[in-house]
Amino acid sequence: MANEVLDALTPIGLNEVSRRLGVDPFETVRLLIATQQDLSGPLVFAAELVDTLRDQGGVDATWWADAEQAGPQERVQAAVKQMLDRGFVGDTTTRMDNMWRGLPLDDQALLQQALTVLSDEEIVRCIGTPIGLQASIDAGKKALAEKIASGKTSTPGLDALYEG
Amino acid sequence: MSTQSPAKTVSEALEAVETWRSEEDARRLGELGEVAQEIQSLEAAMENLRQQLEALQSFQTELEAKGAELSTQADQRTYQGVFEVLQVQAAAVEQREREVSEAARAKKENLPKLLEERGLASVLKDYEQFKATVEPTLQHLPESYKAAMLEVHHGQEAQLRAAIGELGGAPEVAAEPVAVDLVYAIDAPEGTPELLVVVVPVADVVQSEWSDRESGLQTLLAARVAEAIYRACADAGFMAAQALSGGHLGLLAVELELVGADAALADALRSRLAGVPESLELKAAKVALTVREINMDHLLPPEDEEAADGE
Repeated sequence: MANEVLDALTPIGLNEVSRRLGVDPFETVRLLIATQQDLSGPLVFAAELVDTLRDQGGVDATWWADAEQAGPQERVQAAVKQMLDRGFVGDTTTRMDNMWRGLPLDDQALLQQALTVLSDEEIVRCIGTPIGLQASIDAGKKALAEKIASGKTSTPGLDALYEG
Repeated sequence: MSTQSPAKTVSEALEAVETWRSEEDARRLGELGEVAQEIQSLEAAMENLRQQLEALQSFQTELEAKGAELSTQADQRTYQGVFEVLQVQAAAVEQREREVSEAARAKKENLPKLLEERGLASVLKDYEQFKATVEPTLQHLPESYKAAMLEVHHGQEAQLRAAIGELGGAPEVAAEPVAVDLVYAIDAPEGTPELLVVVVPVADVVQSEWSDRESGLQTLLAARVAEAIYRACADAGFMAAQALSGGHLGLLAVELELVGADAALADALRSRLAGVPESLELKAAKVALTVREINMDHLLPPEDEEAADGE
């Protein structure tokens, strides 16, 4: 019991905070700065800080809890649909990494590339903020995004990505 | 002719003129031959000089080319030298990380004793008792009683957390200082910064395999670099900053695109990175960090540079 109690009272390290948040340690550092945490001491933190960072940093739990395995095209379509369903259009943005948190690494890389492509094609808007990169569907391209999500259309960039 | 006696006949006069002409012509022809020979000699000398000039010009071209080649070779040697040193230093930091972890483990094992010395043994015991016996039954207690018990419990928890935080802080190691370098380059070909590259003297797996690792000394060093970068970006109002990390020759490299940033960001980065050696963990671990700004050519592999030129 004594060890368990001590463990529970002992502050957690940066990687443990990152694991609980589901973001990499560099992003955690960015969130710590954005939420004005005191970093002048050792980089260890009370476990409760994770909730603060999650809330203030806009870190969502995984969007893919019940997701099954999917091919690249289906995965990208599903991600665009998630953005639309969750209302991330125009000025309502979400952290970019919310889109792939919890997915296998290959799918994470795929969605990162897909977002870059969609941003280049001005269908997705990416905005830098103190808490990290945010993204949303461009309001003027919502109809096109809906067609992409339903598989009725694609874009040259996405086609090239699928052929990759 | 003046010494000759005057001609007495026309025939003698004509003969004298012919003789004079023959003698003058012979002299003229002799001089003409000498001049021709002199011209030939000079032409030969000129040809010789021309050949020497051509040889020198050719050598000059070779030397000029060798200068550019020498510069490229020097860049390559510097690049190799920098990374070879950083690899050795990263191994030293990794070794120091093991020593720090060992010291931390010993410190943790000793924590109950240290708490006792602080007079907190009874507080810890009460806290444990609350967790084991009271907390599971809290919901059945009257609200006022529950609130009072929780207030005491939270006070004990705060007391213990503060003590554990203080006693279990960055462990100091009894070892010789390790001297390492943190190198970075800011590319600003047009005056405004375009790219920051930092090479941290730690293994690249610190970042690529972070989810399977504990936060050791290497992680903390990398985190302090990230802190410096993001603080500098905040100082300069560069919100689009997105640091990318990856491995290069086994070392952790961090890149940050600075396009669109204010020129003041370069100085903010220099200033913040210069503060990394003051980090508490590095001092406790006796890691003496020197921050150096170097030429971008000495941080990027030569082929990358060529590829970038070709773009």
